[in-house]
Amino acid sequence: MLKMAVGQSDDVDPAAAIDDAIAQAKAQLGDAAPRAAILFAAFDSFDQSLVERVRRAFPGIDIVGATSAAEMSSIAGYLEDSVALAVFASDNLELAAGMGVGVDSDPKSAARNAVAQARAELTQDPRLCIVLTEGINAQRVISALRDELADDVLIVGGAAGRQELGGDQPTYQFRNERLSAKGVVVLLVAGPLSFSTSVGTGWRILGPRGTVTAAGYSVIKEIDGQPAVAWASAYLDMSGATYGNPLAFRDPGTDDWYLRVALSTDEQGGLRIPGEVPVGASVQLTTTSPDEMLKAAGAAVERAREAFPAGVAPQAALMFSCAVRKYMLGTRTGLELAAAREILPPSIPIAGMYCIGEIAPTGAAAESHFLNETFVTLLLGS
Amino acid sequence: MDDESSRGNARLERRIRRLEATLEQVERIRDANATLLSRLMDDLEVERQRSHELLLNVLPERIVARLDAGETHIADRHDEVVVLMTDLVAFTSSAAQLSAGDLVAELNDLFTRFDDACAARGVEKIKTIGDAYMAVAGLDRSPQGDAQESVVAAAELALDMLDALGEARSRWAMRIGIHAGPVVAGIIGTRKFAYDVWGDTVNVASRLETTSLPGRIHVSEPVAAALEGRFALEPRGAVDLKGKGELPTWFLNGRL
Repeated sequence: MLKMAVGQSDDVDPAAAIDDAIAQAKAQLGDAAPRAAILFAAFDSFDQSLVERVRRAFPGIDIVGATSAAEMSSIAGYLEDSVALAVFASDNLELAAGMGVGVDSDPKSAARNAVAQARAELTQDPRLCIVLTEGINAQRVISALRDELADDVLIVGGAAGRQELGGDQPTYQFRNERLSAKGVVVLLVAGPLSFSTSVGTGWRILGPRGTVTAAGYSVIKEIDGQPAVAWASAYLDMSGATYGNPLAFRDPGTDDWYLRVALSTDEQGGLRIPGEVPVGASVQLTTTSPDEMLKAAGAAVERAREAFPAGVAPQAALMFSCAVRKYMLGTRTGLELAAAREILPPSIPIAGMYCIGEIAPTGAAAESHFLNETFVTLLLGS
Repeated sequence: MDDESSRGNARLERRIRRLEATLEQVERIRDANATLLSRLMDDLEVERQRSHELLLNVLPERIVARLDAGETHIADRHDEVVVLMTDLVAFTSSAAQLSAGDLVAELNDLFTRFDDACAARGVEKIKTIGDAYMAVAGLDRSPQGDAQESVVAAAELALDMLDALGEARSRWAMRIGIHAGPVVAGIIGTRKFAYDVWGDTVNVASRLETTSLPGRIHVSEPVAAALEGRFALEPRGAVDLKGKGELPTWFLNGRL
């Protein structure tokens, strides 16, 4: 049996906020012994003392987390400038955490270290890897995690966030007393775990289709043989990031489309993107509406619910949504969580964060990818 | 102010800052979407115009107008139209001696000349089937229009076609058949659809073409009657037209 206790508060005093969240989680835990915790902390409210307070409240607990653009939970709903805490207890599952740093210089080693630390605490092979990492190098981290974990291990999570979409402010990942702006933290789960996951975007692909003809990591250099910015500028205002109109890409030989925000342009006419798109990928424009986004979020939860293994009821839900969706939905952002709660039984605890990049499998593909502007839901049970 | 009020105010102020930031982003995203929409609408208009022109290459303009107006099933009876059918003699055997490219190029040259002749005479090209060409005069005529003029237009077209065959230095001879009478005209299908005509008049015109002779224009009695006095006609006598029995027919030899 898995028990996830959640707490959330947006008190302006971060210490008071985390104490509120701890008290809420403790009340739900009862006598269950907590093994691990995930903390989503608003970037502007975060400091290391929040983690220390959780560790003091739950002695021996292994806590991982990241800064976030906004937070959500079944306790307080959708909030900005809050802390959301999920504490896990189980009598038959093993949970163990790990952290690697230096994802910008050596993502493979960072992923290897994180997985090795967690695996050392497990007696069984992990079945699920919840990951929080830095955004710019997230795609490399996912690739490295796939190399470290068996093919059947589901990798789901998000890239740490902050309130502002643009700019060069760092985001943070942490495990216990360790903190990094270039880190990856994992929470591995082993044992008789049941889970399902699904994603939704709501973006509609439209307009002319191009082909990526030159690209590197974090940059699309050319589309259809011309500077990528020239191709995009025919339709998009490229004076800033294309948050509201991410580009849709489809890798050669696949059927699944994924989104990438064009963050800025470079002097050679390239488009800076988070992650990587291979040469030969198809590219198109996108648009959406708040209604379509909310429908997609609800549909993702519905698909996850339907895909959940028979004979076991979901006992917890984690959600990772994109910080851009928050700005697209404006005052309606909370309706993503509300849509999920309408579909899931009211007793299921939910915790989640708004990220700057999401991590989950898409479409028919079993392996996880780095995603943009996507809503990810993960249902857990045992 | 007590501590709780102070924290409440601080929370409110923070919320207002977040809302202002959200509003700024929402406005940027709205503006970007408006730009995208405007540019896509420009594309859409170009594509709409292109597809309209493409449709005009396939369907008569009046039919395109009716489709644009929302009609989905178009089938009209026309009591007095003139159907012209042509066929190239020994096309299949001679075609086997040509490369595909040469064959299509020669046929395209010839039929392009026929298309021009149709346009010049106000006759509607209906379709080509292999080396056969079918055109109809009078489909766009009002009920009060002069049916005889449609017959004259078809006769002029037939003569123009024989001239075009000579100008193209075609390797083939051609048979032509013309008959006048009622038809049903309309659109069949929803994909790769075509404007076509059906009825006994079409069948008779086809029989007249198959029983014609190379280089000759074979016409029925109502056609000959309408052309009398303006065109040179040569009685051919009774000809057995499959499914119709023996009927008197004429060869149209030229203008008077």
